[in-house]
Amino acid sequence: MRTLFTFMTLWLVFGDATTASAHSGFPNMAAREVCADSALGDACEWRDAHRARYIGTCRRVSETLLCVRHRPIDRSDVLRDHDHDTAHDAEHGHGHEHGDVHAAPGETTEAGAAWPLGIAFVGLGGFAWTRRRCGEDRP
Amino acid sequence: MHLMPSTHAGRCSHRLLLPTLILSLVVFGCGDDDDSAMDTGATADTGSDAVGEDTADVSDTGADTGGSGECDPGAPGTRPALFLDGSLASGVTEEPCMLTNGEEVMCYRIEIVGEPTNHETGPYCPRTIDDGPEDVGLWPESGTLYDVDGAFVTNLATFYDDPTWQLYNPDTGEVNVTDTAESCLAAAMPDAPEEYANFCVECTLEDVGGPSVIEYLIPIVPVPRDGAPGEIGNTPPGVSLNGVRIEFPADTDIILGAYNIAPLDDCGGHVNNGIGYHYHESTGCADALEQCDGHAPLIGFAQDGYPIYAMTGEDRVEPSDLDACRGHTDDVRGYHYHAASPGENMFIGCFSGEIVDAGGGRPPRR
Repeated sequence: MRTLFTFMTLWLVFGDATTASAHSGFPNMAAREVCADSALGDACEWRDAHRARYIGTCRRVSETLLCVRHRPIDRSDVLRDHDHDTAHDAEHGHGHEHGDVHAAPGETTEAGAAWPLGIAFVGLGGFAWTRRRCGEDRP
Repeated sequence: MHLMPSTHAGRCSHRLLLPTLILSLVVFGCGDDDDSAMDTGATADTGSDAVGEDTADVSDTGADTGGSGECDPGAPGTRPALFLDGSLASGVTEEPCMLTNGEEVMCYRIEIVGEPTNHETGPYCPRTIDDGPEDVGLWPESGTLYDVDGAFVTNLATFYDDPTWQLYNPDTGEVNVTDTAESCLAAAMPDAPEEYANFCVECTLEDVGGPSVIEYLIPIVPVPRDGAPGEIGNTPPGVSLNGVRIEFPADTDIILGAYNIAPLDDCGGHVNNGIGYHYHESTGCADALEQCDGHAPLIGFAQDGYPIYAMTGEDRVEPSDLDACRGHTDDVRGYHYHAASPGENMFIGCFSGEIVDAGGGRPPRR
């Protein structure tokens, strides 16, 4: 349990270092690429570097089709895929440690979503440690 | 870290659990949405005190802000009296106009000054790789805005997985910036000369000869389109109440294809030749008018006459019933749009109403 507690503490302290990582490719290309082989008005979907889903339809903007989001950003996979995202970035050498990522109003960054869970882990770890100590102290 | 067992049996009570739980609850309880709000570092005045009351010549626009210092109760359509003081180059007038469906209607002629009246513009590019986020602008990357600071610049080759990126002199740490009018105009061209590859492109209003007055013809009464929405194409989607052109998404692929970065300032705008300062993103600076009912603040008006509001209001929840153009209808405002999030490089996705044939958002024809 002590190992788990230590791991959780380290994750809490250092785990957010890669939350601003970007994937390869040109920025904003995801919204264009998903419509590259689509027709005007087709449904489309893309994900950002944090695995948040952007769902919309292909619209003509400038000279190309662009996926225009019309549903709220779906961040349900962001937290669950944290390990995958971090591994992907590490695999491709994208350890972009950047502490100044801006989040949209009303949105929660990956880091923001991770903190409550981290605190919960610390709480549980502390509880388990306390119980263990109590067990050791009892005759 | 070695955790020594306590010798004090009293400290081993399970009542120790209580502070732990309280701490967790406090932390969860403190998870205010504001924590995730974007810190633009902007100097926008979003209060309604700045709402212009005498900038428009149109006498009855339906505008009713409830007086200076009060919120806007909201209303359908375009209300020219809501433009901020100083944001209009001339008085708003009415004239006949032809819509794209061939219908002739009455339109507002609106001329904006082409620079924001409620915040400064810039900064954009870092000068050295030691510059921090407070000295620079932003770059949109697939839904996220990044500070174009020294750390970002030095990491570009890794960030885009392309060793060609070298935006700075590794010996001096100086960033390649288009800091003259000539270089800014050259590097901003789609077919930028090779010597302007690997530059941070920034143009100031002085570089392009000052703010550009932009005129719009916007239908007084919006006309919904029959059938499919109208595509934005190369039409600037709208105009903001603080006197700025709302532009369609930046061609970041062209910019990056030349190994250049053209940062936006913290307000989501930048300058180029011909159209001066313009917004590509809604970051809060153009949220000019708070709504009395907590609805998202009013930003401006689209070319089809429907109003554009910020993405979220007081509840910080984006509407879930937006159509393909990012619009929907409520009882107070009728049909209206909500801007996309910062990082998406756009405000609205298409036009639900008819726009004026030949479009607006151009320098005035004198």
